[in-house]
Formats: sequence, C-alpha cells, structure tokens
Amino acid sequence: MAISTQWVIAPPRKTVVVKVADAAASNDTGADLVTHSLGSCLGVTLYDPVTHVGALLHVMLPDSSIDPARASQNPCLFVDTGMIRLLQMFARVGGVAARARIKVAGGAQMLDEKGVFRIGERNVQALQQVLAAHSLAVAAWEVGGVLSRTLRLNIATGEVTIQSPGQPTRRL
Amino acid sequence: MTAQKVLQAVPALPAVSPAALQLIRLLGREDADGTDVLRYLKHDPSLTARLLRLCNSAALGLPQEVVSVDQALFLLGYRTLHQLAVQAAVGDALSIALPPYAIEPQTLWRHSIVTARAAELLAEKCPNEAPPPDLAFTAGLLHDIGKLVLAQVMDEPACAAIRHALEVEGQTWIEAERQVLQTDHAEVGAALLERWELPRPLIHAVAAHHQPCGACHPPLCELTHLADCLAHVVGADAGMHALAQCVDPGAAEHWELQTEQVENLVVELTEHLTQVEASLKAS
Repeated sequence: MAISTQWVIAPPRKTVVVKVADAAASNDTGADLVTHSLGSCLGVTLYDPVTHVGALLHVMLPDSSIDPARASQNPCLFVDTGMIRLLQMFARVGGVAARARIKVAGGAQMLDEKGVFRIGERNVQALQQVLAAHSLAVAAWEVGGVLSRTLRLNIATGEVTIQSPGQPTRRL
Repeated sequence: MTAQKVLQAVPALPAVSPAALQLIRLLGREDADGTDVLRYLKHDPSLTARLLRLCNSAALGLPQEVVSVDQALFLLGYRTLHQLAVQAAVGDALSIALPPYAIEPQTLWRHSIVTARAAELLAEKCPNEAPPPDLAFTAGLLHDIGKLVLAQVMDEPACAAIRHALEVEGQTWIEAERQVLQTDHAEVGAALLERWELPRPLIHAVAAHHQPCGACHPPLCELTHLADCLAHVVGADAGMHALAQCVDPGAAEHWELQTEQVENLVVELTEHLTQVEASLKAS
C-alpha cells in the first residue's frame, strides 16, 4: 500500500522595518523585526523565549526633558520615554518583561574631543538608568565604535543579528 | 596621486548635465532669479521631468498638481525651486553604489540630502555671519561628491590597505585615504567642482569639510563640517566605518554649539530623514 505524503512549506519570512524613532512588537513567529542605520542611535530588542514575543525600538536621543511636547507626540525619539513605550507594546502582545532577553546595539560615535556630538555614549547611559529603574538587565551589548549597524530580531527563535556595511553578519 | 591626476585617470566623471551645472552656478550670482532657472531647465527635459516629480512628491505637500516649471516657480518661489532643481540635478549621480566604500545604492544620496538639510538649518539658526541657506544646502549636498570619483581608482590592494588603516590603525577615513592614495575624497571633490567651474565658496567648503580652515567668511566649510557630523549622528550615514571621522573642536566652539542645540537639531533632522526614507521607498 502506498504511503501518502504531505508537504507543508513554510511561507517566506516577513520583514517588519522599524523606522528611525519608532518601535514595533510582534508575536508572529513568521516575522523578523529589522531596523537600519543605527549611527549614534540605539536599537533595543526584547524577546520572551516562552511566549515567542519580540519587540524592537530605534531611539535617537537620551532624555525627553529637552522637548516634552515632541516626546508626547513621539515617545520613541527619546530613550526614557521610548523604553516605557516599548515595554508597554511588548506586554500588549504577550511578552513578560521579567523574563525578556534584552539586547542592545548602536551608540556609535565620531572622535569628538569636546563631546558636543557624544550622543551615542549618553544614549547608552540613559538606557542603563531606565533599565535599572525597572530592575531589568541587558543580556548582550554591541555599542560604540564607528560602525553603522542594522539590527534584526527573529521572532521565532529570538536570534538577534547585526550587519554593518562591509562586515560579515554577526550574532549578538 | 594628486587630485587632478585622479580626475584624469578615471574613466567617467559623475553624470551631471550641463544644465544642472548652470543651475548650481546661479548660486554665485546675486542677480539670479526664477527666469534663469526656467531658461536652463528648457535645455534639459529629463531634469525638468525629475524636478516636476519632486514638486509633486508627498513630502512637499502642495495642494495642487504641478504640471509645468512656470507653475512650480509661481507656487514655490525662486529659492525653493532652485533648491529642488539642484537636488534633482545631482540625485541620480549620488544614488549609485560605491563598492570600495561599501556604500549601497541610495545611501550616499540619503547622507547627502540630510547633510544638505542640516547645513540649511544651521545657516538659518545662526544668522550672524552665516552663509545664505541655499549655498549651505548645496555645499551639504555636494560635500562627498569626491567619493564618486575616488572610488573608481580604489583597486583591491588599495581597499585592503585602507581597511587595514581604518580597522587596525584606527585612522579616520581622510587619514586612511591620504596614506594609501596620497589624496582624499574632499580634495578630489573640490578638484571636480573646480573643473565644473562652480562658485569658489562651494569648492572651498567641499575641500575643507573634514578640516575646516576656521578663517573663511562666511564660514561655509565649518558649517558643512558640522552638518556632516549631524547627519552621522542622526544615522544618515553611508558605507563601512561611516563614523570614522574627527569632529573639529574649533568649529563647534565657533558656532557655539552646545549639546542641547545638537539634540534639538537631531530632532528636526529625524523628521526630515523620515520624509527622505519615505520618498526613497516610493521612487
């Protein structure tokens, strides 16, 4: 007797692009969240390995106190308000912050003696403060240097990869 | 190799039409007005078509469809129309990929247009002795044009040596280019603009955009340098080791730029970058 076989082909993975000063959260295991061109900006990923939920934030500046009106319009411009927004979005799709694997990339900077353009470094400090206030810890970092970075989070596996122009893709 | 020799050695100079160069030369003339723009555009139908497409883009948000350059001049005024024409004129040339720099298609354009907007913002915000905003905009737009030429003489060994200088010796791009090629993209860009007979302040700004002289009036080279730095901070950068450059300490001091002002400028540029990305996606 012939044995019947069935083929179930997975659809191609979807790519959700997170723009500058924007965030996304998803529980779709067929999707990748991606953000491009992280210069001095930070890319923050959260991933809950139990519920397979992920979130990604592309944030520009450390502190919303310089422009509270803009911060209320778009919280994702600033680290302090952006992280709160990201945690809310993450919880909304079923992620639990306490077990989230947090990974961070970006915060590059030019050689700047006077420090006027040292936004990358201050973004990292601001993020550490916000996370400490929520008793959260970062699992992996790749910050600083002079590289521009593209950050990708696979919602199925939680794998986070970084690409920079002219460099091989690496896992974070 | 000197910058002039590089220009002679390359097989193709950036594809910018004669009408486009005439448009940029208008910056050096005080009596220029809308009729000059119309006159030059008449000779270049493809540039006119690109300009009309820009005028009708969502980013500009005009209430009615623009069907002719005359109508665009009426709706937008000379300054905006001239700016858009220059943008349309060099857009294609700056959108190509440059493998020696690991620059992908459109990323150099994205960097250039954000630098141009940053330069315009800086010129508007610091009116004392600042250069005219449209001159600043064009300097920002053209500051990295030398990369289009220099990339053509960067062969495998040169690329490997530059990479070594950047990654192992920790040099900046300008230092690495000079060490390996005896010239750099700023110098080559300036030589190109000189050959094109563009206004002197533009040539100087492109030549000194990594090491501003601190002595010219108005200080267009300092402004272009700071605008370039701002574009990098916002994330509108292109190619490998994109941030391997020095911020000139004198420039920030001279422009009295404080961290807070830089952050406010970043907020404004972010909005611009979002619009640019939307337009790139649409094109």
